[in-house]
Amino acid sequence: MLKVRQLVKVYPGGVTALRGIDLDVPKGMYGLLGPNGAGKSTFMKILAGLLEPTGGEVTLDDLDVVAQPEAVHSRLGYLPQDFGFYPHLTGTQMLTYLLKLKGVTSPKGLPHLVSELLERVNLTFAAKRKVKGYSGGMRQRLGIAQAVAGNPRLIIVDEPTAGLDPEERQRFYRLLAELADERSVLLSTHIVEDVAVLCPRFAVISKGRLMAETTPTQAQARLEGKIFEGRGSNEELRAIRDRHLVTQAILVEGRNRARIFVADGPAPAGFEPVSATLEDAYMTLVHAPADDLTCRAVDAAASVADEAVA
Amino acid sequence: MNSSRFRATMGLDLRSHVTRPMFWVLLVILALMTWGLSSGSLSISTGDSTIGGTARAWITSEFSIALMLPIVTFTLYSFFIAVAAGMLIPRDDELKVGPILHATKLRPSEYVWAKYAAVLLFFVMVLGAHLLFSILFNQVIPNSQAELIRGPFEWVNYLRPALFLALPFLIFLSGVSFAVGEWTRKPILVFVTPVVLLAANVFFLWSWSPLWLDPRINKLLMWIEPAGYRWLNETWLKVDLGVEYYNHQPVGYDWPFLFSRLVMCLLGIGAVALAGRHFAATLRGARGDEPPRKRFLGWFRKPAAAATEGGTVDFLDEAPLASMEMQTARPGFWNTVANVARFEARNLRSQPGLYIFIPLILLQVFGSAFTRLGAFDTPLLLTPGTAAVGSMNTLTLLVCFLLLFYTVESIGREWHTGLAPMYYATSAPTAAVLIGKAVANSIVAATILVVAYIGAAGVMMVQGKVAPALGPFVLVWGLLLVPTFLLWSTFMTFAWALTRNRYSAYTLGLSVLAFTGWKQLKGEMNWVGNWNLWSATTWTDFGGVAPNGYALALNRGFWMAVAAFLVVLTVRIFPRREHDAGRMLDRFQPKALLRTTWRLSPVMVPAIVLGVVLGVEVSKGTQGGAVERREEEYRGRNLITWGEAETPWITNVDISLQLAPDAASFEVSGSYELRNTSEKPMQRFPMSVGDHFENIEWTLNGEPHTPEDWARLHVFVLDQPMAVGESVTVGFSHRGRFPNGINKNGGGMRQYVLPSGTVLTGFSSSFLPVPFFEGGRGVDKDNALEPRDYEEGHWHGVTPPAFGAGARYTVTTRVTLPESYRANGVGLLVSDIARDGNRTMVWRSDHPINFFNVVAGRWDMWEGEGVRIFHHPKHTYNLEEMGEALVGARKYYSEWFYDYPWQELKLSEFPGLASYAQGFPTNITFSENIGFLTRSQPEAQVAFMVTAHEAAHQWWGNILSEGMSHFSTILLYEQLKGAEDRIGFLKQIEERYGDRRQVDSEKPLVWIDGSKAGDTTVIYDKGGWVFWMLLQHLGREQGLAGVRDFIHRYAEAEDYPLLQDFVAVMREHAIDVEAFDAFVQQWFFEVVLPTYKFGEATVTQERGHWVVEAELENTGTGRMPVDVAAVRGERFPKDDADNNEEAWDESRVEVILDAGEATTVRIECDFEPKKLVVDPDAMVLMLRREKAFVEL
Repeated sequence: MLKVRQLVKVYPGGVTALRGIDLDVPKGMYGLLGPNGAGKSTFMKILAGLLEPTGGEVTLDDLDVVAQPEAVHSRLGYLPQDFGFYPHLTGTQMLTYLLKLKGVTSPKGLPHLVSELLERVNLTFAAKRKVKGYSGGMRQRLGIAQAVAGNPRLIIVDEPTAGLDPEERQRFYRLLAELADERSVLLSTHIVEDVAVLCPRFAVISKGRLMAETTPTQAQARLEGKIFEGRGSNEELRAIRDRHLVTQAILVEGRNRARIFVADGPAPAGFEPVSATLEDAYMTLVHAPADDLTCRAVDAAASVADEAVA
Repeated sequence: MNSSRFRATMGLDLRSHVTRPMFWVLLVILALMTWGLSSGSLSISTGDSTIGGTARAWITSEFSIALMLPIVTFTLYSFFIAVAAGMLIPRDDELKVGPILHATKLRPSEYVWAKYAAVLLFFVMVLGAHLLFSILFNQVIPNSQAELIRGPFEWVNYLRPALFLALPFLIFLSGVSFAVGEWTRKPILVFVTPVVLLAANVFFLWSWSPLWLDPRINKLLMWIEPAGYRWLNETWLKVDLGVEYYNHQPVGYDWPFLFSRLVMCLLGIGAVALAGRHFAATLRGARGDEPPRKRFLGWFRKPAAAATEGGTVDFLDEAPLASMEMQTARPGFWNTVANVARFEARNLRSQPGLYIFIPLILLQVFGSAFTRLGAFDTPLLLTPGTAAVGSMNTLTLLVCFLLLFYTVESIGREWHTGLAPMYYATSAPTAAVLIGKAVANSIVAATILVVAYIGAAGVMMVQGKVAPALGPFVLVWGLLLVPTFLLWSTFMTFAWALTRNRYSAYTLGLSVLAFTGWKQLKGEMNWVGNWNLWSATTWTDFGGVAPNGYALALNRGFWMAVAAFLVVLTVRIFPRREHDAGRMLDRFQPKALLRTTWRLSPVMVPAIVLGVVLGVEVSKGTQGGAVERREEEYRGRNLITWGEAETPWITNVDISLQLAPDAASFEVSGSYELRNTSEKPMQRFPMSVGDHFENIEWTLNGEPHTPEDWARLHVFVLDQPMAVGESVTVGFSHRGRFPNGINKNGGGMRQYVLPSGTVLTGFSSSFLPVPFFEGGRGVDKDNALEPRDYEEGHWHGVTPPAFGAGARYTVTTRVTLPESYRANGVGLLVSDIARDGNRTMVWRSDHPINFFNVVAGRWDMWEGEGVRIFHHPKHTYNLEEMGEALVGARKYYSEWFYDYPWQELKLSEFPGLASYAQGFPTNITFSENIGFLTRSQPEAQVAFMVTAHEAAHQWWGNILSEGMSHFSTILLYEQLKGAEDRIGFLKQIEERYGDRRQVDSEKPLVWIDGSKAGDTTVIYDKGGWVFWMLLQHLGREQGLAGVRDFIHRYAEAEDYPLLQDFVAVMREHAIDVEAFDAFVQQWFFEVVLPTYKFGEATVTQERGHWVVEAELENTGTGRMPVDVAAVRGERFPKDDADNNEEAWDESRVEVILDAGEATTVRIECDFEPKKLVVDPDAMVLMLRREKAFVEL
């Protein structure tokens, strides 16, 4: 179990990335959703022991991640958002080297294991090719291979599906689902679909605050009857936006089609009630959080962050 | 090329350069350096630098600026230019701005040229700022020396050197660095260019100019040297043209040199053009980024079948991860070290930079360290020990450069490639990763050492004299050099961890190297600070590095402890996890700091303890503060009272000396018989004792006596004044360690009692008290006396000697030492008794002597007719040659000068802790680096020369000593080797005189006493030549008769003869006194130096004869009859049966030219002449002899 308490991170210059996050990540898949700049990557780096927080506690199976980051590394599989490889090495060489550094072994030997891992991420065909010739998706898959290697207690994957084609994304989903049977897998993403497909629970972070901690079903259920869909001109939508939260606005056959969240009162004319999606839930949680869905009092956490900044 | 896009790109880059902190650092350094140089510390070596000397070189002259600019731009700008220009394209690659930039209308050529123009313009601006700093500090800011070293302000003095010297270098280096960076995209290779240039210039192009170097090769080297310093030095500075010239004349840039600068510019521009083409090709998708080797091989390979993207595998068919049975355990420390080291080493193996760096380093090592010169510029034999020690400085500097770049790139690689988040999220211990990387880099250093050893072994095998033993290399490189590399790797890792920036780490590393070098140059380094052991290690085949062994062990121990501390510190600050700024501040709270210090104490304590121990040892050592203070006290207390006081002279010495080489100690008891040779009674007299003397006891005329102790100068106050001519006997006994502790910063020592050998002389209070004030003790830059100016006629009456005793005396020396040693003293061995593992040898002078010494060692003996040579058992390389000179010297010097008065003539070798030779009566001592380890070739028998010179001191003692010894050598060359070798030697010393004299401050021969800059070459080289010319002037018989007469009068006299006395005696033997006086006036009482230069020369054939007519001018000074010869063929053909050289013919006329006078020389010959030569027999000392000929 990964426990996070009052986690605060303030960067030099006063930029507060995390304002007191409290979170428990149980065994299984766990999603972390949030818009760009919400603080997800900062949060993930701290969990991976690559960034020192300004305050707060992080424990993994009672191991203090903040005080002993290196002790956590042997229990960790990590796929960062931005990464690279030694360009002059082949995929096999690169993976072998990283596995050695992680202390991963297999009764069948490391070469065999590397070969199997590459097969699981569909890179066997490029195993002997230098990494500098890999496409973005291939690099991402090689990164996934090293992250899942070994028997980590916690796997942290930060925006893992970026650059993967739909087929590879499905393959990766299955891989993660398989891994989540016996360990915690923390998936950070801004792609709601990833969470919808994989995560029985997820948290939403925005502007460094934990906005909600819930399940997809629960999040959608609380919006029942409050999501409406309709069409309108730009001017009409602008007027609606002033009164309601627009959870989606797309062009369909050249006209605006929007979904809106109506907290109370009647829906605008021309808008019909529809079933809530997880994306609707995500948008409302980011922009209009509900107390019943947050695990901890956000205000209290914010005050901790303010103290840290001071 | 679109000018708007070009300007926009260039402007952007220029702003980027201007805003980079590193270049502001450069400006600050330039300002500070320019300020420092404005004191005149870097100026042309000319003029008269003595107090009151007004002829000083101006720092504002064009020559001064031309000297300063190449040195500063080269040493300071190079690495900045390499970083700025070389990293332009690689940095854009790292920033990944290329795809966006090149999707615009910006053309590759615009991009490349704009970036290059920006960097060039930036450095031109830096150069401009540099010149403005120079003008400000040289001309405006107040300076206490201003009147002497400042001339009027002239723009041209600054602009011309900048234009002709600095600018071509900037264009060349920036262009080449830019091209290297573009072509390779590897930061390390960018640094190859400045490192290569630095090594080539500092170790070779700026300094290597042996006397025998072919002028054509010298010209070529001047043209290819990019900074222009060699050209300036060789063309204008090496031969001193006088301060007036340098202060007022412009630098004469010749057309070939200017053309070479143009070529430098074109090379730089051409390199950029090539880089532009390559860049464009790479952008178009050509295989420009593929190494040429692969491209070449690719033409012959079958195209590989394109690997297909992985097919779709049904997820139901995939093996579950659990089936892989993966396990994870934290990898072991050493296992990680091995993994990382193996990986890094494999990675390094594929680094092309390594294959450029390593050969260059080896080239440098072979080029400089393995071609060392000894006394009289003689080349030295390469032996395992001298090779290992001699190459240490070069290897240290260059490998440290290599490690600087490779360590930084290696440590930063994960961050540069983006692997860091995954790499450092593994459980590999940080220390293991860092050590693994350091080990890999150390393998590179070790490889260099192995290859350098193989090279050195090869050189030794080619020499064919010395076996290439491995032991000294293992000892010196393994135990002394390798720790330096470990330390440096550790430091650079620390620097990177601290700064987390490639360039900052480079700057820090380079600053440490520069600071270390600066401290070394200033003589402020000591064993504690000398982390890289620059110039600290000496080698002797008699005892390895043993003389400094204790200090070396402490030094290495200390710095290894520092390295261990740095490792721990680096692991703590290493940015594996990015630290939080707030928590960092907390860590600097006093309590937190104390806690950290406590935690680090296990690794800090050894370093602190060893550092303190070493510091204390240095402080109380032979050059430590305590000794320095006592020596200053000695000088301060006694200089005025005893500096010029008349003191009694020794008439007899009787000593018993016990040597314990293993303990570096001695015990001595004995007595001096002292006589009052002054003209008045003497109430008191001094006895100076060494700082290391202990348990000193005295007797006076057999009775115990307690003299007054005036800070190690013991003053004997007599109850009754010693009457003129009266004698007293002073007895003494004491003991001491010698050396008494370690020295300040390694290096050699001149006298010592050591297991490798013992060298003790009676010149100073090294083992015996001396009955005078020692003027050389306690001297530093603040209390040193200016060279003395003598009054006219000061030589009249009894002149005291410059050193040693005025009158000869007798000596008995009893030396007891371990039986395996032998001790040699002056005089004749009268007994040699071995008892209880010890040996007592008694030496007694069989004829009075004026100096004495004791030298001991474990030797083998070579014996010739009347001479013996005691030498290291393996140093037999030049024995025959040295023996020939020694036998010849004894025979012919006796014949020419006077009969050798002693029975024995022996030469003893001592450990090469210092390179000198001394000719004590009957007991010559040579350092092993002189003669014994000289690389003597049949065509230049330098061991012969050195021995002939030193043997001559037996006849000349301290009378006109060095010049007469050179003169004797000239005669012996002619006698035993023939005219060719004699001419060769004369040309050699003539060229040295031309190179090293100081025109403005050079005094006439009679006024030289060795105390001023440039005196040495006058005493040795000009002295030898002038005596030789005098012999020719008087005629051999007359001349030698005069010399014999002179020795006869002065050898036993109390009046120390000076050149004036010599001239007076020789005058009595002159047949044409008027001509003699004219000769003597020029060469002894004035400074003249003829310089002959041919004008137009023609050859015509008349009635079967050839007539040569040529203009000849004496552009120098002086008036001498000189032969001019029209010649053809080889005068001294080689003993080679296959040679097809033309037979020698010559036809001569004698010419006498006044200074500035010209004449037409006409020579008729009955052969077709090929050359006109001035002074073919080397009879007249002249400047630039190599120009005193003309091809016909």
